[in-house]
Amino acid sequence: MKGVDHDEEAFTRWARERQLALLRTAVLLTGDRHRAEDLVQEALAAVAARWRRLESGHPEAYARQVLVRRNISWWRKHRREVVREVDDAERVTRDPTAASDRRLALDRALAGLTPKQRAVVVLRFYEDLPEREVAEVLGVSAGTVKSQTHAALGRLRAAAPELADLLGDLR
Amino acid sequence: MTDHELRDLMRAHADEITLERDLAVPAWRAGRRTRRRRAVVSTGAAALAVATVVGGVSVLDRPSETAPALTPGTPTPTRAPSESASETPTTPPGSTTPDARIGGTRVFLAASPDDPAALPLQREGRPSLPDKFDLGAEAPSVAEAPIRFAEAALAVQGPDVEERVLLLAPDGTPRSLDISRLDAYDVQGGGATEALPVHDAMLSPTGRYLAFPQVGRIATYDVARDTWGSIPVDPVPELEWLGDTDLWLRSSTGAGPLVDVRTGRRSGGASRDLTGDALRAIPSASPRGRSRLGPYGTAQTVVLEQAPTDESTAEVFLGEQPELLVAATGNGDEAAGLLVGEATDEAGRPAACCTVASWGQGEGVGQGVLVYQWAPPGATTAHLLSWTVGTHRVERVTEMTGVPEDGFVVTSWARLWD
Repeated sequence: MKGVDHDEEAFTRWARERQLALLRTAVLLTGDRHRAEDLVQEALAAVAARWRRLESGHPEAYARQVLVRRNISWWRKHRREVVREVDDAERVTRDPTAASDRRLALDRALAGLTPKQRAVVVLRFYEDLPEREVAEVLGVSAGTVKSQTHAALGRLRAAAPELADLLGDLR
Repeated sequence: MTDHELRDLMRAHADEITLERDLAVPAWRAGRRTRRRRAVVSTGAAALAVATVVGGVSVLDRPSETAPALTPGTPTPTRAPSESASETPTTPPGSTTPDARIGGTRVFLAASPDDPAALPLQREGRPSLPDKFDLGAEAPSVAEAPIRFAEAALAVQGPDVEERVLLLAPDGTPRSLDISRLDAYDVQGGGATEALPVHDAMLSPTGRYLAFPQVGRIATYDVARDTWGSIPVDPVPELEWLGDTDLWLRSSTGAGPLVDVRTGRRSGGASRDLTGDALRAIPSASPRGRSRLGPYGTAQTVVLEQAPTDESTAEVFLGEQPELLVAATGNGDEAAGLLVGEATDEAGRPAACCTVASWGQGEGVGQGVLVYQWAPPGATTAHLLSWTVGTHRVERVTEMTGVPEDGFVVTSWARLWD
């Protein structure tokens, strides 16, 4: 029978391997480094709390689910404070072909999405998950993922016209 | 460009992010604390469950029985939490696999709780209601366009609102009922002095009559005859319909006389434990809003003062003070709950979204359909949604636009099942 020491060692090894990847996903999900760290900490703690059952399964998938759902929950509680449209003055007007400007434009456009839309974009286009897995992470149907993706890309195009060529072929 | 380029752009951004501190060790410690806390809470919850008090429903001397027959329930057995519930959160709408359990009550996550407009429109067993209507719409009076009954009575409550009730005819068209003749009445008991005397049980189950509390009396309205009446009562209790034509004048003890709205005379008496079934299902919950009797039992919105900390269910309940709709069959079968949101936001402001409106048309025993209203504070659109009890199926019944930002909608529905 595995002991507590083994569990701690195995969890710590896994967490150290995956924490940076989770942090990067969390930053893309939230747009906020500090909140992203908090989220990753919570997700890792949730995995640790059930490590014996997750060790032989998919701890990263579970951690990702906790990240996404807790971020949405956090947003629900704070939406009056954080919901905002990206206004014209904020739109990037510099050279849209410069990589740094495009990233800046994408950041700002992502900030105009709902957390669910943002999660769909990050999970589909950054994590490269198929729609079915995105649906599982979010706890919604695949149809909802499709519609949320469509809405998110439309909103990104509206918020950042300079990225229209980048977003043009996506659906 | 393609999705690869969007991916590259996001990855380039992500690559700039570096780890500034190790999160693994503190996470392990936090996880260990959680495991210990859950072990303690689980032990306490098991002890509390044993102490649950059984409530019940009884009709004392009702002369003509038309209300749904109910049998006092029994406490549901405490079961071990589902081992895999929270790890399989996505299932087909018709699936009966719960996302979690609280004691013996199966709990299902509501699909798209923050975006009801994205839900599919109910097709099977759909009540005679339009897909969508405007609460501010111009509408003829009942005198101008007579109807025999209404499917719904709706009003907007708030500052400077029009003193009217909107009645939805069976064909989906609206009628306007002028209630300016009625005095303001603090239905909710919150000290409001300008509130319309509208409430969530103003329309009778057949849609024929309306009842409004007034000081020292109940004002009644007959839709078919377009006539007003008055029943002297002092004090006026919270009004509730029991059967097609009887108003139940329930006191704070849960007992009270029945009064026939047609004659104003006493027609019987009833005693009922209003929230017993739901609270037997989830003993640690607080009831919110009205309990609804229906063909499959009782339904009630409840709020958990604290999210469950059981290891297998904790991740289903993401926020504080989870809000659930609980349907409890009156014959001792398992109860089921639908997790719809949270009762308060982090600042303690009300955020509850949903109240039980009625039971709907189910397809058979064990397939009850619960109809509930989604109208969180500040929403300018409200929805009537249906949940097929014991499944993940949540569908959109009708959408109500025109709710003012500084007000809210009050709705009362005729019986939605055959």
